[in-house]
Amino acid sequence: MSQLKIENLHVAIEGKEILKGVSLEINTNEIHAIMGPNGNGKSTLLSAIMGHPKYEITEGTITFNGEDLLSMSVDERARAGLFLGMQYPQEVSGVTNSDFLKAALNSRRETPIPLFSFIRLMEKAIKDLQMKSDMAHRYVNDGFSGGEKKRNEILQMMLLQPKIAMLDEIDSGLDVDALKIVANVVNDMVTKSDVGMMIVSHYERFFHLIIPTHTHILIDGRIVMSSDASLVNRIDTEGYDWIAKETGIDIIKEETVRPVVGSIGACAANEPRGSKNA
Amino acid sequence: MREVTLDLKSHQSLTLANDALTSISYTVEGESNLTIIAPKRTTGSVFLTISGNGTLNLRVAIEDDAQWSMLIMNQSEQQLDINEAFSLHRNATLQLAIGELSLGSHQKNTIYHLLAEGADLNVRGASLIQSKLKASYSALHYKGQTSAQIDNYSIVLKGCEYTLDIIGNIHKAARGAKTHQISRVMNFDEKPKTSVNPKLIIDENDVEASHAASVGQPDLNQVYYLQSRGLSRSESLKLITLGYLLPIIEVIDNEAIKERLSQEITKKVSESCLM
Repeated sequence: MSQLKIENLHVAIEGKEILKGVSLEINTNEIHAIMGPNGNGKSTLLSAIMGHPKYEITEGTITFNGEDLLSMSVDERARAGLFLGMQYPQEVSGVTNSDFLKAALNSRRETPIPLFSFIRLMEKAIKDLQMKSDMAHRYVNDGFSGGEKKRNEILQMMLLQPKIAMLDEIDSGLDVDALKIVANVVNDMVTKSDVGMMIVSHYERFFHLIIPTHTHILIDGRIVMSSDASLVNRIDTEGYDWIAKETGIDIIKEETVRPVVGSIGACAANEPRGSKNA
Repeated sequence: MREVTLDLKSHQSLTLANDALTSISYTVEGESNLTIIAPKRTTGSVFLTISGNGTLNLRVAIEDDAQWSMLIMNQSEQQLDINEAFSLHRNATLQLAIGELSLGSHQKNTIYHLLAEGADLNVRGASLIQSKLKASYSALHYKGQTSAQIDNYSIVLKGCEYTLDIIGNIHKAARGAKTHQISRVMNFDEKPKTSVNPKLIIDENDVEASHAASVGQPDLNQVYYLQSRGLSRSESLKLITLGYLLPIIEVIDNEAIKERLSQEITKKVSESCLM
């Protein structure tokens, strides 16, 4: 039984406050859907929990099984049992998926995983996710399509067996069939292993495949409403404006400048920093 | 594929056997000349390791319609200057990987001569700079329909120096030539002594030419991504570094050599101070 407890969390990026007092409790076997308009703090919440160095915690606490998560480094949080399936998974050219995953698994073990056991684990995950068999030998996310990158995140989650898994718009870039495959894997994990989930998504169809036990609406850095799965359906038909009206909180309009997720500043190979609509 | 193993030093001239993997262990003694010839219509691989100190003048000729892959590992831990000239003749292709992973202080001057139509060169260089490297790579296109892709991936450790001049030169009458370069340098020093100077000299129309160069610290987003899967910061940096270096071994189609080199490179990276 694991518990992630967030209390009065305030988070700023470059001096600008994004989260303005978020409190949440996620336990094993719970699936929490985090919904809300773009640019209102959903991804910030997940990245801050994982410990991205750009996000400054200005107030509040996060504990994981009673331990102070904020005093842990990113890798310590991962080894403690946290996982974040990212919206924009990084490419790491030259490093094969299998070397990367072996290193990630071994970081949690006293002795390295036997090669045969690793291959068996990897092959099963690749089969379950209906991925191409060569993906173990390809460089991490390098040249992957959007859908392949997202499946690769889920593959990592399957192998690393986290206690609390956070998925940040993992459904974007997936076609309908892939969405079902990913949803089956997530549901299977929740049923068969002791894991709690926090899932950020815009699309109600994902939450028809993975039924949340809790639904939270995040607007302007605050959770303004929490309920069960029924809230998902209302958002689907009516959008967010009614929530803004009921709560009196203004929805933040999304900025067009995205954080740069490319590699080191290539002058000709990558997009310029802060490029609009990158 | 047959395997040929040779142990050579000082002045040597070698004609490569067709359809073979030739492994050469070469020791430089003072001023040394090594000439390697891939005859017409031959195919195969060369794995050349270089040690010793002094000056090596390396000449490689890939003759008409020959198709070769070559991996050169500089393992000299001493002072070594290397002058290299690669000549690619009509329809010759060369897949070349170059590893500079030693502790030695080195100077390199490399010229690729693309002499006739159909000459096709593909280079991937990997350098772990642990003292000082001054390198210059020039692709000279004398004729049309020649092609050169030169990619360099370098890691510069703290307190080390790196200068890379990389030149694509398309001569008059080399219509349809293609010359491309990618240079990526990752510095582990906050005040690095690194200089990357790409240059394109074009004297003909109807050609393709490009260069991309990046010099920077390890990418924080990549480090964060790897750490978020449980790898420590130091393990993450090692893996990113290996990602720069390990792809050179792919040029040799021999699993035993690949495995040995992979272990050697991994060991070198593990022993170096990346933090």
